[in-house]
Amino acid sequence: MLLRDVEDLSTEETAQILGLNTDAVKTRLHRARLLARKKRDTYLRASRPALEKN
Amino acid sequence: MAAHQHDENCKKMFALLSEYLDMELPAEACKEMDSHITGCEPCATFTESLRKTIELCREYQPKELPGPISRDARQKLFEAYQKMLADRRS
Repeated sequence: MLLRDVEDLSTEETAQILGLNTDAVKTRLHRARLLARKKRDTYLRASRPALEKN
Repeated sequence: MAAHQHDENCKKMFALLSEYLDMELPAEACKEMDSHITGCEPCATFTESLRKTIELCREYQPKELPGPISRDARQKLFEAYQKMLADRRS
């Protein structure tokens, strides 16, 4: 996720750097994004309970 | 019966969500995702929150390292990572 979404490298470049094939990069990227989304969601719920209720 | 069908579609779309948001899906699969998301409110909400998460990552600009050093540091990190992988394999 750092290489793809923060550093904006392509799937192929990321695969080369990590020594993975492109399918593995895609799978790991998806997994990382889902985890990041969950963490952000948890953070938003915890820090803004009043807004969530409205 | 409709609820079961709904679950199957949601699972299928869940797995393809990153590729969908990266616009890497074939046209046909993309159309299927579009129509599912349009008709499924929980999936629409989830997709939007994932899209926003990715957008925040893209906007994130690490400022600690100036350009030239960053490039050098990146190379060193790359070498260290390759070494770590090699050590792990052996």
